[in-house]
Amino acid sequence: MTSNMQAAHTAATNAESYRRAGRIKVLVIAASFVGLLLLAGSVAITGISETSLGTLFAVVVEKLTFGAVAASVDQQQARVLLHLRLPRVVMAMIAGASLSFAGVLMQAITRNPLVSPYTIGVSSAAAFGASIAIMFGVGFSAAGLYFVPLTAFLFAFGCAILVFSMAWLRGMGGQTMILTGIALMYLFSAMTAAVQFVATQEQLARVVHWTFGSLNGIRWDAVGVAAIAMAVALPLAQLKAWQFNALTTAGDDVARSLGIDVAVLRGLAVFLSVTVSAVVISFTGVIGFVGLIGPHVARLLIGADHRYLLPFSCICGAVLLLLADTLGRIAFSPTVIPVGIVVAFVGVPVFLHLVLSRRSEYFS
Amino acid sequence: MTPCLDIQSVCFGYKTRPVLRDLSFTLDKGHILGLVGPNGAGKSTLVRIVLGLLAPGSGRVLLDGQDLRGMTPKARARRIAYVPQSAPLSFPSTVFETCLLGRTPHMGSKPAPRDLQVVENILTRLRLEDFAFRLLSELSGGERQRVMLARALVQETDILVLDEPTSALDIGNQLFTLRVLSEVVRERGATALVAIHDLSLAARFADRLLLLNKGQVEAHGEWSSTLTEASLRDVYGVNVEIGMVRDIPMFAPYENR
Repeated sequence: MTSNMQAAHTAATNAESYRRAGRIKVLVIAASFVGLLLLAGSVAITGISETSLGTLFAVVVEKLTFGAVAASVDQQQARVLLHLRLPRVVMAMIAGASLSFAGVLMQAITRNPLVSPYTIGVSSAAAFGASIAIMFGVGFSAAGLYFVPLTAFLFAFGCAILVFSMAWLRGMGGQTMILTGIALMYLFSAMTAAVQFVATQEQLARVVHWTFGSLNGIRWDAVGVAAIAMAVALPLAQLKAWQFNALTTAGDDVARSLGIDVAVLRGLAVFLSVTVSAVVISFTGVIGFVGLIGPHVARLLIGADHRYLLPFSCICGAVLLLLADTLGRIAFSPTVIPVGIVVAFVGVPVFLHLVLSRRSEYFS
Repeated sequence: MTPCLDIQSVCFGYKTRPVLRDLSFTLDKGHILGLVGPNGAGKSTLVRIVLGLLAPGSGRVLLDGQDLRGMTPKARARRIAYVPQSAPLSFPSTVFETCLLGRTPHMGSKPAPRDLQVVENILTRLRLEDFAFRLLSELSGGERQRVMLARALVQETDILVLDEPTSALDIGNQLFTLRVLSEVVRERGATALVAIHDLSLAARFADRLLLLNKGQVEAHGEWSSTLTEASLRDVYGVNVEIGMVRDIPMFAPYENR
């Protein structure tokens, strides 16, 4: 009798603990989102021409109310904020979120913590697309403004379709995707090298610059496209969050025995992760590592339940890229170091630390 | 006994190598069917076909008269639960989270209070309640295997398919796990298909045994008529002496000197 009551007591505690942990995770996500916005605000006002949070606030309010509440601020500062700082800061957040989100999806469907969207060849395909666009493209004329990003995007997507069809032929297994992706990655890298070989000095400089992704000169239209991609992809993935849990924890056979159409889930995840990461890198160039570290940091802090992991990894990725870009802007000011380089310098030590300190379930 | 699962002349082969040849048998309500046979006899393939994960080359599997392959994955998942031999370890997830996955075919996008309650009850029943928030990776192989069973029981199906559920368990836990399984089968009026290598455990806990050899049914029925010294020599290629200890059948393989 006593042991029965004790058992009932422990059991009640377990369900309650689970519920409480869920509520705490929601709070953590909400709080860190607010933290992200504050960080973005303070980063937006740092730089060569210093402004204040008040100025930033006034400018944002004026824009959001379509001028109804006019900002009485210095016009020069307002222009710097609106056309230089804000698009850059917002793009840093969206890019970080997109890459990290794509990393979570790719790791989930391959059940492999070392995979990122780039593992399936997206980045090198985009780099190759950008290279040939720069080589044979129409340059920076008005009509050609989108030529490089568009070509990069098409190649990234074409690569994903190749990986996808190979995997489909072999029953949509996770391993096939990784192996095909890595093979294509080498192929596109070789082709990019071949293009660089025949490039002129000026073209070569632009190609190299592109392969070290940067947020220089990001405009609002790019921000808009990337934001729309995320606004569609994140809710779609969130709907399938529980299915991702089943696939990562239990494996293909058990997931299928739980009623999940694993092939459809893999297809959706590849489509969403490739779309958001290809959109971002076609505008910014290749920014590595965020897609690998973002998911890991997020998983470390909030656990592997994708209902929380998906939104939280977006926040982690956004913070990471925001900090890296700011560091790149101010470290050797006025020289701006491309964010792709900073991320690698900051990211590799962080990642190695994770590898060495993680419990056995990773990297085993 | 009403047949619950009706396996009708199922054949299966990878490429040209036949794995299952014209298998027919039924799984009856309230019964445990033990699936025994040597390595490579086709046990795992049969398990996957019964789960609906693999389409038979010819023949069919009927669930209450309905073809298994014609059912939606979700409808199937509400009827058949699966306990794999081992679980892949990838990302850190707790025992409670893992078991809650068993509610997947019954819930919408998030678990309801009743789902949590079911998990609690099963965890207690399998003596896992103290491990609820431990990570799967921190458990021993035996504890992890019990978690796999817990997740399948949480699914509340009337058919359970288990692939070597006791392979990583010590003798105490083997007994405990199979005891719980047979209690659940009786209570729910469920049915279980258990692929198992331990002949003594199979004879003890299964109501019927199916001895599989090279993809064919060698013998089917009560253990005493299935596991004879002659049939075991045929199938496993070793001599086996069968003895009784406390009414428990024991199987001692030996080589001719």
